[in-house]
Amino acid sequence: LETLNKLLNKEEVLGEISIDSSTIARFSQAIFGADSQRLAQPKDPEGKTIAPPTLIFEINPTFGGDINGSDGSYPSLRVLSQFGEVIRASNQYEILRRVREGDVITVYRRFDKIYKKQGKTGIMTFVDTQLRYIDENHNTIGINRETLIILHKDQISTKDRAET
Amino acid sequence: LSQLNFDDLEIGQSITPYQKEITLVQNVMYASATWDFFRIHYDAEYARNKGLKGPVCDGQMLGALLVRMVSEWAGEAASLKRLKLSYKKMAYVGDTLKFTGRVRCKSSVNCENQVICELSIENQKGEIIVSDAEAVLSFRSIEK
Repeated sequence: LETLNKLLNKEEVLGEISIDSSTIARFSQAIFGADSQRLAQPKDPEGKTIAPPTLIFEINPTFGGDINGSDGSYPSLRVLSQFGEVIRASNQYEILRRVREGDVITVYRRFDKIYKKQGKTGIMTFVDTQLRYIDENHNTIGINRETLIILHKDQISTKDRAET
Repeated sequence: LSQLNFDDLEIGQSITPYQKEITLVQNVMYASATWDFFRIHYDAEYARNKGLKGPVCDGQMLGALLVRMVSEWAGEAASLKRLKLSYKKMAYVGDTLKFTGRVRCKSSVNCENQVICELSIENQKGEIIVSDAEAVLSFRSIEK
């Protein structure tokens, strides 16, 4: 915990996401399938495509960066993986403005709290994280409060998350 | 696409449910769309070496699929303000997931019509995959 605690309360830029029509189309197709054109890609009054509401929270903000690591994992998880296997426990998204074609979003990450809890498979370490999404006009357009679990080696094969 | 009217919504009203089989193709499409290439989502051997039964669904994709259900039900008059969800069990490629929900409460404050829906995801065995899920929707008025 002492090493982990050094990560706390320091907000840093995780990356930047440029939204174009193909970004939205690919995400919509993955989630809405054949109905994606009809259901998932409304236009704003200027004719720009509006993204599905959770898209911004799900895209890896280091697009074009390091994807060739041994496990391909999401970078916000990887910084913790030196301490054990990292999985998500929960997400809480707050949408202040829908993302649309042409937006350039900067993602900031902060680790807020680290604590231990007893589960059926032993003690697990929880990390509360906040990701903030800032648009090109410096407005916060979304917040993702995410709780991660660091599993110790003997817990890795028992990943069913109801254990807590 | 349905077009629900806030005034017509009732507490306890069900959201139109749907079922979906999780396929490897969908996991790969989602990884490509989000640029999140963690190998447990599409590399069976890698996943098994990690102690898993096989490739698993990305938890955040489950959130997006819940939003799909809510969006199709509520229509264009509603916009998602908040979504929260807790992941309880892994969903694997080959699982058939059932997405359900209902209206928990509705309110009108400062001319904003708000609806809170509780949501859940179960697998084909009836096991809870996502619990404590909640979507907050803002409805704009529709002229009848």
